Amino acid sequence: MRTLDLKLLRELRRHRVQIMSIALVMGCGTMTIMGLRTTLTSVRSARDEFFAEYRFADVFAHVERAPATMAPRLAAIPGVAAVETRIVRDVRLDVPGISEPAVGHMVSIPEERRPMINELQIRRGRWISPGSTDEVLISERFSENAKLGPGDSVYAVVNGRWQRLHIVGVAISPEFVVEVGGHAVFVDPSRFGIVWTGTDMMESAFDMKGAFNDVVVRLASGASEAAVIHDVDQLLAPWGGAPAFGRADQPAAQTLADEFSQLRANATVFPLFFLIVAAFLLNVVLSRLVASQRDEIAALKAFGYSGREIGFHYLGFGIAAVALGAALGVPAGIWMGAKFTNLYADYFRFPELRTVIDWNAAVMGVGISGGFALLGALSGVRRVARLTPAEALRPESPGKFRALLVEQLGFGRFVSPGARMVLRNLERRPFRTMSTVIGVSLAVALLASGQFPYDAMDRLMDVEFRLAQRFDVLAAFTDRRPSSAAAELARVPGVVSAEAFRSTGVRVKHAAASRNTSITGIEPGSTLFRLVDTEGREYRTPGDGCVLTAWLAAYLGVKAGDSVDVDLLEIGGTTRRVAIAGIYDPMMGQGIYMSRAALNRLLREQAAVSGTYLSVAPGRESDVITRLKEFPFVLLATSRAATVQRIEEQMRQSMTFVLTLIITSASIIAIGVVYNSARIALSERGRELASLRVLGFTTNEVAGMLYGEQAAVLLLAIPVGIGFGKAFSIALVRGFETERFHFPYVMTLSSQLFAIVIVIAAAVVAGLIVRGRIGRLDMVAALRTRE
Amino acid sequence: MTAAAVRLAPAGARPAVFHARGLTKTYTMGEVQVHALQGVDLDLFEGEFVVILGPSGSGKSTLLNILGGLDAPTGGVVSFRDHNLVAADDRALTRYRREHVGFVFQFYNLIPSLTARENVALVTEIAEHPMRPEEALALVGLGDRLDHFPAQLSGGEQQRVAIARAVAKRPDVLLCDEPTGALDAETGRLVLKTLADVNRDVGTATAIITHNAVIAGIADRVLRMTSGRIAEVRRNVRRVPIEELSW
Repeated sequence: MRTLDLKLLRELRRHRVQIMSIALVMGCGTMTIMGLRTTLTSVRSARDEFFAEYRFADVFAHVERAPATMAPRLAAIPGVAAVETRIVRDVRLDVPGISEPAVGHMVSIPEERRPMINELQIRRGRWISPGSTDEVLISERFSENAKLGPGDSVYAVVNGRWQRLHIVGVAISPEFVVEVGGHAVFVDPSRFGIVWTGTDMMESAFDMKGAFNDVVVRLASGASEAAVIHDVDQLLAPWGGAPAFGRADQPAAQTLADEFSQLRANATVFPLFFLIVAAFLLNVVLSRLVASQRDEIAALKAFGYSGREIGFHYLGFGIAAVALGAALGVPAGIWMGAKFTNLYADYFRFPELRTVIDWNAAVMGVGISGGFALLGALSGVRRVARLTPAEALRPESPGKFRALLVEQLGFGRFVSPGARMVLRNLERRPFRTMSTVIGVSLAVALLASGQFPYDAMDRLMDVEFRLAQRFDVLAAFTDRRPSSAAAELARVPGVVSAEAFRSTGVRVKHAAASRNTSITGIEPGSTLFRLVDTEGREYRTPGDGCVLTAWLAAYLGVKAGDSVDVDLLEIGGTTRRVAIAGIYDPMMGQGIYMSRAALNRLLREQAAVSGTYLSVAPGRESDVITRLKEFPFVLLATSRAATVQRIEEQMRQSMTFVLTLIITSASIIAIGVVYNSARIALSERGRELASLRVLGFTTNEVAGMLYGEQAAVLLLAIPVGIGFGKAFSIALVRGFETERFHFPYVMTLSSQLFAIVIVIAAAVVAGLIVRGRIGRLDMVAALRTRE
Repeated sequence: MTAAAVRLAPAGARPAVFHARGLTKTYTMGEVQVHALQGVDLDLFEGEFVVILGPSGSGKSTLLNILGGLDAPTGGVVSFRDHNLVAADDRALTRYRREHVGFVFQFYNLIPSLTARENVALVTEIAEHPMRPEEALALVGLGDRLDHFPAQLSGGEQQRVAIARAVAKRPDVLLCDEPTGALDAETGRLVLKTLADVNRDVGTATAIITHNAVIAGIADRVLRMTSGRIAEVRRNVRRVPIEELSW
């Protein structure tokens, strides 16, 4: 080993705490990139495999009722590889032991063979036996949450009659990777499940002999999805066909795609914190190291070592930090990826959700963080190369100190000499002061914006469930009912008031853009369900025309005053034109709102309703829900309070892990930055501080002067960090925005205080580490050595 | 060899190692302009032992730095054998220092993280025909302190390691900046003896700068500097044995 390398190794050991603190920050960067990208790769490859192996459909269409003879004609469409026709219906389920009714999304499957499209994987039990009239398979997540399995029974209201269903197996399907219910964004997994049963049974139960109401299509390779959709629409139009759609609009596939885009946003924003901080740290530490080794550099140069050789020697410190950072970050990234992937396994059901380590991300993480860090190291190294040997031999010329701005302004007498020392030191090295401030402020920003998703969710819940959805119980009907049905529910004991609503599925079109969504008609003066935007402003449904959500309006490229065409899926896709009276920007959901009367007019029907919002007397909720179950036309009755509680529980699960991660890494940043800054100040001013000790100052007084600088940095960094945090949160809002959610930008005071407290605590820890060194200051030696 | 050098050369002269004419050097320290050299003419000959005397600020360190290729003059000419040091770029100066010059500093400038042996090895590794580090350390009487770190050595021992480090590459010239400045008299004599022995045994041309006039006695020739000029050149008829020095 070359002697210069030996020097590097020995000095690395001496500066191990500093190098380690930088490596930790860099490791955090690598870990986040790798962890998030590994999660993304794992879930995405599980999706791709599942979709491919279980032959997930490419095109989906729903009709009112089409004869089975249409199947071969659909299969004959050019570009179609396979077609399965099915019967799909939502039914009310009664799950033993659960008071609220559950919804079963029933899908027919062939009894004699396995489906050609959307194949199921049997997780437990067996396939239904041919000729059986009551055997069903249920989805895995529902089975786990409702505690049902093979051998158990559930009761379903099938065509107005209770029927016993015998569970023989538990399955998953690419179509229901996420079990998305049509009625509520947050579905309690114990109250919504997929129920697969034999085609014969479905046909007889729903009077669909020789008919179907749902089609799934697989495309031949190279076929045009748009062309096939067009042909399918044409063939099915006479049978009340709703417009067909591709995978991009399929709820489960869409949910997955949304999730991927959020993961990608996170994988871009968060690692940046660490990379920037690591670059700053290495820069500051190496600059200081170079400054403190002027004598040694002079000697090396005098002996004929070239600037290049010496530069590489010092770059070695940077390389060591990068290597250590990689050694820590890569395994941590794999761990984090596995952990996150496991979190997803509860929501997304795949045959197998393996952690697929994203080695590209490892290379990228180490490469980017290393690049950033070495960039930081470079300026220190360049200084070495530039230093002429004779100059290196001379002591550094004394720093130029100036009177402070406050002194120049004539306020000098208000500043104590100690404070002046602190402030002048900060002013003297503006770049270093700035990088320290930026470093600490990034820790503050990370903590403050790391809570953003939760703050935003809190605010979303507050607006949605306190201002917008103010009902206690939502009752949705199995199908269109006369308004007397709602009146009937209003008379249930315990119900204080009821407001009926009408909702219907539509395909909305404008120019070339179109989208599947729904129109909800609410009572004009509705108080139980209101249209409230992100700012908390309320919108009223107009007497005529509709209100569009901002996302949908942007998607279609329309503004208030325009009109849109809607295909009314409930009445065979009849197209009607609706004027846009207004646009509002809600936090949750997308769609079209009208007054109920206007929607009834649009559908050319009497005062029909689809459900009702109920306000219930305190303490009577479960009584009311139990009573609602007795009405056969009530498909779903959900309690708002239970929904809120469920969402909060779901959030808490992932929050604990994510917050722990954020707090740990932000603390690493804060400790790293403050420790290094104090450590460097100590090494630069060791002589000065030792002199003060000689003059009779106590260790604590000397430490106070050193801490003064760090405290001033903290004071500056906190507001800057809060500002950064806000900027990062705004970036995250964009990254998180999806069709279903428009997160508000929020940063609560408590998040800010939390960030500040954690960073101060980290700074105190860093201060304590340095404190020991002040106690060991060798007064005599410090005075003897030349600066 | 130029005519001027011939004129300045003592009788029976050996060839000149260094040849400098009209050297000036001005540099800025903080906000102050320092005129360190104001026209220096100098020759140093093969195997010669020269002491440059002068108070601090007289420009002797600056002169030594320029001769050693550590610094460039503001004006004038200086050459080492047939190398023009003024025209040389950084790369050429680095090679010059690596191949020809040995330095000894007032504050030793040892690498604290390396042992005595490793400090010497640092230089022998990049030299063409070096001694073994052990050999160089034995030469300065530190054969038994090979694996000690600088912090475990006395000031005199550290300076002797620095000398071993300087001579180990078998340099053509040895330039010493106040080698005894940080040492007590007894240790200082030991260090000077080491330098004189190396000069005698290896024949390395040696220049020592000091403000301690007593040391001048051990030199072949003494140059006295004041205010950036060489004020006096004196040739010692007899070199005083180091043991007789006292200060």
